[in-house]
Amino acid sequence: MTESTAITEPVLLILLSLAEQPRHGYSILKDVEEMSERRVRLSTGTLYGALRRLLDDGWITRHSADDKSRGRQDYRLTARGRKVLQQEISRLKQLTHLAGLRVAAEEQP
Amino acid sequence: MTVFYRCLLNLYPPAHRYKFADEMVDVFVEAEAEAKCTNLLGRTAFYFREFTGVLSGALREQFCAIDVCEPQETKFGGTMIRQTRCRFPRSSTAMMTVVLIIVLGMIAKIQGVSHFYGRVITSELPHQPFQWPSYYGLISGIAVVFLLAWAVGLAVWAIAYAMRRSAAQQLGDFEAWPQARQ
Repeated sequence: MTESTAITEPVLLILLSLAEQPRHGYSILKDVEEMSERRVRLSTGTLYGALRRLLDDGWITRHSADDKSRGRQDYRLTARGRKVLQQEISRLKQLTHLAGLRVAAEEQP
Repeated sequence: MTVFYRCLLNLYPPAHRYKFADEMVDVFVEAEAEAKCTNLLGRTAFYFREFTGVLSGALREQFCAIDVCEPQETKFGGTMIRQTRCRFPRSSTAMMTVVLIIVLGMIAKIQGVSHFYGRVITSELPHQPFQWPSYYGLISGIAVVFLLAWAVGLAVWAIAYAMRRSAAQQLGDFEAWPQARQ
């Protein structure tokens, strides 16, 4: 995964979920589902595949959660990950703006 | 179902399993508890999503573990370059196969020519039964030896590649001082 390539919707939702606060696996799963209004439902396999790639790219970090009895791990967005997320949001804003202009031009006689 | 799910996690590469398996099982158990409150259709959809997710995830991770999909950034002479972690030329298998096909094609051509001349000789001497040229056996022998060498070479390469991958992967995932990083 490089900064230049557009990130997929599940990955974007995971990053958005972690932008607010550090979360553990199940919390990310639920937050993604909630944010997408139950449209995107990640399986654990998909979630941990994405988390592994994000960890490898240094976009998130992994820490032991406060609730150590369950061996939970918290995931946090790094500065690099936040920067990538901001870039992606800018890209989407630009795309939405362009789409708005094109659709408006189409509607005019 | 949790036991079955845990068994499916064995399909992942050891490094991924070591790092995430317990967490994945925890998340699965929590999600399953929630899915159990839904109707039959909801539960079926949940199990289908989970098991297909694990299978496709395991396949993807296995491919990544042998560096099929992910290049790595390394610093070389002050500049960042992207390359796969595998430095053994993966094209060697393809090259070996191409060379094998060329050699077999040439052998088949030579055999065709020798067979043609064999027939000519037989037609000139009708009373004599056809005899294979003496070098026919030699060519077949070379073909068999070449085939065997190719098969042995491929097997040795596969074993060496697998051993190298597993060792490099284990070393790469080894954290000497995990506390120091936190």
